[in-house]
Amino acid sequence: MRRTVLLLAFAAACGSAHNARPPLTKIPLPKGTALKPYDAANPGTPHPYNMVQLGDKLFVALGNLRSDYSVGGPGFLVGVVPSQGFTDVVDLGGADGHECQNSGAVRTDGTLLYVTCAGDFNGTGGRALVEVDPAAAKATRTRRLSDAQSPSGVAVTASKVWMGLSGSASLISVDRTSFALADGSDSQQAIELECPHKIYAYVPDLLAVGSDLYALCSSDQAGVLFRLDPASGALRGQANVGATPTALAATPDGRVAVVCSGDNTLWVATPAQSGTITAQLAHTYANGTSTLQGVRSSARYVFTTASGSNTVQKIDVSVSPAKVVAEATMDTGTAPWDVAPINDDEVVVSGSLSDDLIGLTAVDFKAAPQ
Amino acid sequence: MPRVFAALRRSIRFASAALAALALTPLHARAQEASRPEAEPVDITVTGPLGSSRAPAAQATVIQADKFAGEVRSVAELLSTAPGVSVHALGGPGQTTTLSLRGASADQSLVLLDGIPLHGPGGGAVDLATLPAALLDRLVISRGVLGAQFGAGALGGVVELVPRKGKGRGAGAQLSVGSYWTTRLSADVEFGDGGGSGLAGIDLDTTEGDFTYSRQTTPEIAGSPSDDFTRQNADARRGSGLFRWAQDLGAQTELDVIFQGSAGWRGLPGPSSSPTLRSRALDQGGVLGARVRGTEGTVAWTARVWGRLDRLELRGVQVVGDCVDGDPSCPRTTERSTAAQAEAEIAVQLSDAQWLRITASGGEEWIFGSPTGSHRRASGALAAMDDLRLPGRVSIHPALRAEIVGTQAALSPGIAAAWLPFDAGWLAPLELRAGAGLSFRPATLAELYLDQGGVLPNPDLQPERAWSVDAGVRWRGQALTVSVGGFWSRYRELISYELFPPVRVKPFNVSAARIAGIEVQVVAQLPQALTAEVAYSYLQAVNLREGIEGGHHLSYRPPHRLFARGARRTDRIEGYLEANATSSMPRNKFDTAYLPAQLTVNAGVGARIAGTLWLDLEAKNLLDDRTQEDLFQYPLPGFTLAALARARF
Repeated sequence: MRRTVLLLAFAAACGSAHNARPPLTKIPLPKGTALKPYDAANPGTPHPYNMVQLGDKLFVALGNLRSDYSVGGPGFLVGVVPSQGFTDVVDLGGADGHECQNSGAVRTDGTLLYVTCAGDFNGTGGRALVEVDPAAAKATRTRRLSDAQSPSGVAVTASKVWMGLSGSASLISVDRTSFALADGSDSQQAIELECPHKIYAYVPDLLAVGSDLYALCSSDQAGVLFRLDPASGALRGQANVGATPTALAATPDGRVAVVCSGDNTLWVATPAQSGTITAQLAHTYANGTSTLQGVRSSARYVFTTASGSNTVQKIDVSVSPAKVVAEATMDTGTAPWDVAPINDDEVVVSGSLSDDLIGLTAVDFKAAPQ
Repeated sequence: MPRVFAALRRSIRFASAALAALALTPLHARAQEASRPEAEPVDITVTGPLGSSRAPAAQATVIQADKFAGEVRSVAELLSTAPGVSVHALGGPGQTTTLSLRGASADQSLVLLDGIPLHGPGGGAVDLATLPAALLDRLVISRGVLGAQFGAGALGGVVELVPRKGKGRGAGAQLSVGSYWTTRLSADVEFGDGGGSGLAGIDLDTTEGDFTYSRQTTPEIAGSPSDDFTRQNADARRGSGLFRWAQDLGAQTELDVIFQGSAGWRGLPGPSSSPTLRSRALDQGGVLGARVRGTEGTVAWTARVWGRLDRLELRGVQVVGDCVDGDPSCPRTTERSTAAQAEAEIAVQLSDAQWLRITASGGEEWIFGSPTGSHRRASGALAAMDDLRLPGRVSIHPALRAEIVGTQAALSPGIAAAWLPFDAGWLAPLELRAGAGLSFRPATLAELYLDQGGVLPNPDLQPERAWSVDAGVRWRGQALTVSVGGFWSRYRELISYELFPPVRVKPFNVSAARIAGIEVQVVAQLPQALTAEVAYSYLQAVNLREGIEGGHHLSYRPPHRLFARGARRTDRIEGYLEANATSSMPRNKFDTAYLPAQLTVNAGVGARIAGTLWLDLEAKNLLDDRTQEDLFQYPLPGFTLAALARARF
């Protein structure tokens, strides 16, 4: 089987491809009582979602959800050394264990980590932004959010931590100094993105690059990438992308890559000096690829995940059209969500549907079909 | 006299049947009789009626079930031999299979069993896998917006399943055993006396469903090999029964009672990339109906009551993926739907050339879902249908139905016409048909009220509406029938399931579509008891919704579908070879992902060994294409083999 070949090839590559110790092929995550279940008879499983790399660690947001997607316990952030396993477990739930639930997105400013908590989709509460000090492996500040402010994507800028909402085409922000709600507070309206829609619109992902803030809007009528001022949220430019965009990432050459699950496409947007932005279709995925979910970049390549087809792609976007240079298949049914490149060949993939036996999976693309 | 029509007339005991005959054979029979009394016309179905008595001039195909004796056929496989029909299977045998007529969704086509409308739990699409093919006499497929003739929901068309009737005394049985232990045992017994006749039948189906399929696990890498997998949790068990009794109540009155029930237990295997090995479904359903009909002079009348009950229980099913049945966060969900209706029809012969039918019906339906509780709604309809024969070999069939379903009321008009332009010569069998209809489909109770976990209900839904026009020409010669037709339809207020952030979907009336197509069928009776037939469908289904979906093709509507079959049947041997080709079709709403084209070749051969005992051997998917998939990346079986034995006593 291909998986066996992959493992053998991976083992053969150990220690030769790079100086760092190779990642574990399977990286377990906390489970059971370690996830502090609200009901011991009905615990959650990790449900790892987004990851971010800081130093030699990956930090993974855990949804801690039951199989019906109800909340099993507080949200967690786990620090993982890919070659060793998880080393830090940060309970984001606060004093009552309910301040942060269903944590999903995480970004860093290079020192601190910021995690969004979407809350209980079947109930109320648990919506929050949590600041984590990775050195102390502790949550340092929490900004609770209203039930109408269920956050999805997050981006960290100099003065604010921005969040996109999952129920509307809106951005809210938290002041980094006071950690008080700024945009979206009682005194300051949320930033409303002009995203055409009739039924629904939401902001699946945000990204701060240089002096720009990028926000994706996904709606029943359009997929739009917005370029915004990171301090005020003022619009600088916008470009249409594919249907149902889900995630965005900075490319190695300073552009912005967007994956769109609705029409199975990868787009690359180019910011202009003038402040505007244009986007081009870079790749239409194969018929067998479905439900694009995540996108991240290494020094040279872009990596994407497709949870419907259980695959992860390594893509060269420096050529036009972009070229898939390698692809790996994941364990059946794990629904890969996010991908964290360790280098140009190795990545760690979070499987949102994986049970507690498989939390994260390392992939060496040198051993994958090219 | 043509055998078909002679048989029809022999069976006509009531004026209502005579009315049907007038409708079914409006001009054709008379022309045939007049020009070539010795001729035996070859219908689209080789034998049998020409279409539905309710929509006599609609574009129709009739499939005689006994034509496929000696073959393992599900209802879906029988239907897929007709033009304008597309079936969608969620896997192999026994798995959920739905129907699309003329590109309409499964919800937008009616399926009737002996005139009783069937629905899935919640009022939606009928799962064809729950219907017993072995107990059917024929299937009548009428295409077009036929709400005026059949009632709300008939936007793509109507499939009438006609169960077998008792014809006296006798019994029969059939046993088939095939690949992955797919087994069918069906048996029936006919009984009766001078005053009545009946039939009781059972159909038991079972399969392990553990077929091998191939999937390219790295589809982005051109030329990368496919890996073989074994389908798991795709087993299915089903038992079906049919009881039918017709009793003379007098010289001109008859009572007809029918019961059909089915119960099944099956795995829900899920898509190939994310199999759901712990999800199971149990279903039970049945219909019970009683009809009294009679004649008084030039008036025919029918009164009927029926009830239907369906139950579906899902275990280990979640919004995404599966779960462990019995876990606190993995509750079982149950959906029950019930309907009862009464219908009365009176048909009056206004002249030698005109029958007028008035139908009144009313009833109620209920639904119960474990997350949402129970809901009910009443419905009622008043319809008039006229069958009028005009000079010049023209017949017209206007119809109008006023209907109330819950709080939603609508008028459904329809008209169809047929014309035989020539009364003699080789063009005498040429018949031109045209029709138009406007109707609606009310939202189902499930769409309105049933919280299905990841799928939210929307009590504000309005009915879907559609209109269509079609026209066709048919030439029915002694040994050749050629039928060509085209249609154009528009749909609006279509119910579309939209993302309801963050993780659910919810139905809204936001879509519109234009669906047009061409349907061709050729049936030829060849020497040496050979029959050849070809059915071709062209479909152009365009999304007219505003925004990014607009202008793209509707997903899962194949632009081209071709079915070809050759068969030979004598009193000693039988055999067939058929091919079913489906073109590549969009898999998403943006024409950027496609389900590849598929070609399936099947063949069978059999012989009468002794008396009425036949032994047959059948092979399906002879090309052993294990890469075939249907909706949502559900794999389909490769090569399969089955042995059959059947006998009648």
